[in-house]
Amino acid sequence: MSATDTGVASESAVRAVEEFLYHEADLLDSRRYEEWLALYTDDAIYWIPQGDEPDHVHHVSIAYDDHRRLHERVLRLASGFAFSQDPPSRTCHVVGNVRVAGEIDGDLDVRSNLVLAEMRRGVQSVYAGQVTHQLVPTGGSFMVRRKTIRLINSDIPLSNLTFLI
Amino acid sequence: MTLMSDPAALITNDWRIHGSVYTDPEIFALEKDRLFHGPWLYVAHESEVREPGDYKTTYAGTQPVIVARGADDGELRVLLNRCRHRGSMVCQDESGNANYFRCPYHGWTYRNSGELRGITYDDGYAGLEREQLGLVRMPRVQSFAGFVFASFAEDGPSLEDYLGNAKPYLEIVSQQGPGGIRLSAGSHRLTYKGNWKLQVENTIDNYHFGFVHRSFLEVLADRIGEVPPIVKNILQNPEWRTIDLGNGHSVHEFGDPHTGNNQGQLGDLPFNLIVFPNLCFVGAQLRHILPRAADRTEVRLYPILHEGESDEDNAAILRVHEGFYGPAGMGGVDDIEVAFDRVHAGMEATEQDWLIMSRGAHREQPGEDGTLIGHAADEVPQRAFYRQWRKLMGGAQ
Amino acid sequence: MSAPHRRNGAGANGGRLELTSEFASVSVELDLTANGPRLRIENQQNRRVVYLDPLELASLTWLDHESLGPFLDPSRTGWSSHEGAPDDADV
Repeated sequence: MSATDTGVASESAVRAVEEFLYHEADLLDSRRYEEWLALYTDDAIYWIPQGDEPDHVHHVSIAYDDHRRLHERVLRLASGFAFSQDPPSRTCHVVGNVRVAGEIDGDLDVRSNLVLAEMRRGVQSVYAGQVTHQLVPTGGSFMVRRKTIRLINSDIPLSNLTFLI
Repeated sequence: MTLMSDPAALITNDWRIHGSVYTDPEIFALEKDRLFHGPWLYVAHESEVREPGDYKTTYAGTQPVIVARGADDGELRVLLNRCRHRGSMVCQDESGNANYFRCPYHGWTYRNSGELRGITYDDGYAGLEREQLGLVRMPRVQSFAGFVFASFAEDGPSLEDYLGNAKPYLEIVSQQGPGGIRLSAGSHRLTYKGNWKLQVENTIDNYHFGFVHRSFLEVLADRIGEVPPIVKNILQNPEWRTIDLGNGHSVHEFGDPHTGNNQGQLGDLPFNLIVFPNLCFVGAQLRHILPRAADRTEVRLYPILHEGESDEDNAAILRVHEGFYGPAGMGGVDDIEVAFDRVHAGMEATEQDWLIMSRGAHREQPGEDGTLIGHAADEVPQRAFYRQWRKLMGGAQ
Repeated sequence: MSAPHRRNGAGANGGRLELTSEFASVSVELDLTANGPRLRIENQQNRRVVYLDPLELASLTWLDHESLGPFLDPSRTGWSSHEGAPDDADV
C-alpha cells in the first residue's frame, strides 16, 4: 500500500516527486552534471549494486559512491580526457511507476522504475531497473540523500557504465 | 603469409608482432590447443571452495569446468561441466554446495568427485561401462599459496616448476591480510569485442598510464591537492621496474615487493603480476581473463579481501577498487575504450599489419635466475608473454 | 555462462526450514504428531516425505557421503525401469 493510500503523501506531493525525478532525468540526459550533483546532499550515497542480494559491505558493487566520489565522477567527465565517454553516451531516461512508499526519518522513500536507452559508438543499449530515492524536502523541492539503482543486468558481463544513471 | 605454417614467425626477432595474432580465428583455435591445454590454468582460490561439497563453475581456457571439493576426502577436483550423455552443462550456478550433481536433461547423477552414480531407467542401456562415464576430470590439480591451478596434460612440469620466479610474488599476495586473503566479495564482470591478449598486455603497461588515464590522474590531483607523482615515478624511479620472470610470467615492482605501492590506494598490491597465460594481479584484485573468441573476451575481477581485518576495512578496499575498476570505474573502462575497442577497430586496416613491441628491448638487463629487468614503461612484460607464446605456438613443449 | 541467479539458499518459516540448491529443494521440520519427536523431511519437488526418529538421526552422524550413493542412484529410486514412472513430477 503506497503512502498516498495511507495518507502520508498527498496527490500533489506525489506529483511534485514525479516532477523532480523527471527533472533529474533531464539533467542527466542533457549531461548537465554539475547541476545534477547539486541535487545531492553532502551525505548522499549513490549505489548501483551488483547481483540479487546487494550488500555493499561484503560484496563488490558496480558503484557505491559518496558525495566525494560523485564529485570526482563529474570532474572526470568534464575533463575532456574521459575516453570511455568520448564521444559521450547519448541517453534517454524514462522514469515510471513512481510511488511514495513512506518516510525514512522525515525523508520521502520513493520507488520508481527506470528504462534507459544509451547510444554510443553506433551501438544502442537498453538498461532497466528498480530505483529507490530517499528525498529530502528542501525549499519547495527536494534533494537526494540516497539513490539506489537495481539494474536487471547488473551481474552479467558489461562493457561501459561510465555515464551517470 | 601462410599463418598456420609457422605461427612463431608472426613475432620477429626485432619484436614486431603480426596483427593476425590478435585477429585470426585460426590462431585462436591453435591457442586453445597449445596454450589452454598443457599449461597450468588458474581455476579458483581455495577460499572460494572451502567446505566439503563446495563447488565453483568457471572456465579452463574456453572449456566450462566445475571446481569441487570432495564430500568425503576434501580433495579439490576440476571436472568438465558437461554431462557424458548428451552434453548438457550439469551445474548452472556460479557456486554452491552439493555432494552429488544431477544433470537436468535426463537425471544422470554424478558424485562431486566425478564418478557416475546412476542413470535413470537404466534398462535402456546394455553394456554401458559406467566406470568410464564419469565427468571428465582434469588430470592434474595443484595449489600454490591458496591459488588452485589445473592442467589437461597428464604429464609435464609441476605447478611449482611452472610458476618458477612468480612464486614469491604469489606468496606475498596470499599474505596481504593478517590471516591471509579471501575472494568472498564476488567479481566484476567485463566484456569487450577484442582479443584476450590485449587485456593481458594492458595489465602491466605503464607507458599508457599518463595518456589513457589522464582523467584519473586529474581526479587524484583533485583528491590529494597536488599532481600525483605516478608519471614521474614511471619515467624516473629506478625502483619501479618491469621484470621478465621466465615461463611467460612478468611483474612490475613499485619498490620493495613486500611494501611497494604505486598510488597509496588502500588494499593495492605492492606489484602487478602476470602469470602466463591468463591470470593477473593488479590493484587490489585477482584478474581472470577468459578468451571467448578471437574477437571476444570476458574479464573477471575478484577484489582481494584481508582475513583478520574488520568488515569496515575490507569494505573500504571494495570502495577503492570500485573507483578505478569495474564497468563504472574511472580507469578500467578507459582501457576498454582505447586499448581494446579502438585497437580492435584500428586493426581492420591490415594493409600493413605489424605492431611494434620493442620498447626497451635494447636495455633489458639480466637479473638473477634467468630474469630480465627493464624500466617501468618498457614493454618487458609483453615480450615475456610473447617469448612463451612463440615457444608454445611454434610447437615446442 | 548466463547471468547467475540465486537459487542456493535457506529460509525459515516458523519452525520450518527450507534448503534449496540448483539440484533440489527440501523442507525440514519438527514433527510431534507421533508418540515421540521425529524430523519430517519433504521433497518440495515431488512432495515425497520421510520421517526420521532420533536414533535414525543419530546413526546418520556415522555417514560418509559415499554411503548415500544408493539413494542418489536414480535407477534405484524414482526412475527405476522395474517400478515404472513415478506418479508425480520427477526429481
